Amino acid sequence: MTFVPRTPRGREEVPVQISRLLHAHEIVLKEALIAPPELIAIHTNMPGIIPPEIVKALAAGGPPPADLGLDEKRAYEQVADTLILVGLQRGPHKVLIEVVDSEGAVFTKQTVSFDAPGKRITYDELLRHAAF
Amino acid sequence: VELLNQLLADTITLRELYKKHHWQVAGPTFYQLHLLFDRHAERQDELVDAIAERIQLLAASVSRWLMTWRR
Repeated sequence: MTFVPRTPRGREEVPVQISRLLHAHEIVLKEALIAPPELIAIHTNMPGIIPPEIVKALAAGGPPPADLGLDEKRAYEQVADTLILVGLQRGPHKVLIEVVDSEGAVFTKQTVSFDAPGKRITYDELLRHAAF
Repeated sequence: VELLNQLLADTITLRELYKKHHWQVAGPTFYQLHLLFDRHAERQDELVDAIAERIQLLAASVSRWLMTWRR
């Protein structure tokens, strides 16, 4: 029943994983676009089909636009999938960079201690690792 | 309802895809992606719930309408 392609068995490289996820997101987003209007609250939960004024408010990090309904406001507060939005627009490499940029401050210490103590991962290392 | 069922099936698959990658991710970015994939799987889980509930609501509405129409 699903249109999302089946993945092969076993472990895949990170860029392949992210590409698969982005492709699946694209499929879901296309379906959401042709879905009935009852889906409005869910639409605002799915990046890529968010109304422009909401995208602006999200980018500014400000409060939701005043004219949103209760459901829409709740959906607005749940929208935090900007990485996926970036990925759909710019590709998996950008997603990896965004991961390090946005979450690096929080997770770098753990990652560093996990992989190479005292060493912060650089963009070059990241992209080398992410080579297709 | 048919479109929503398709959306539900693909959203469930997407959630499982996030979980699979959450378990299997490896390499220098392992930790960030491990957490990120799990977080997105949780978000997809919320969407699955919302879509499924919406389908139930609409299906129930259709049933009620059909029962009235048949009388």
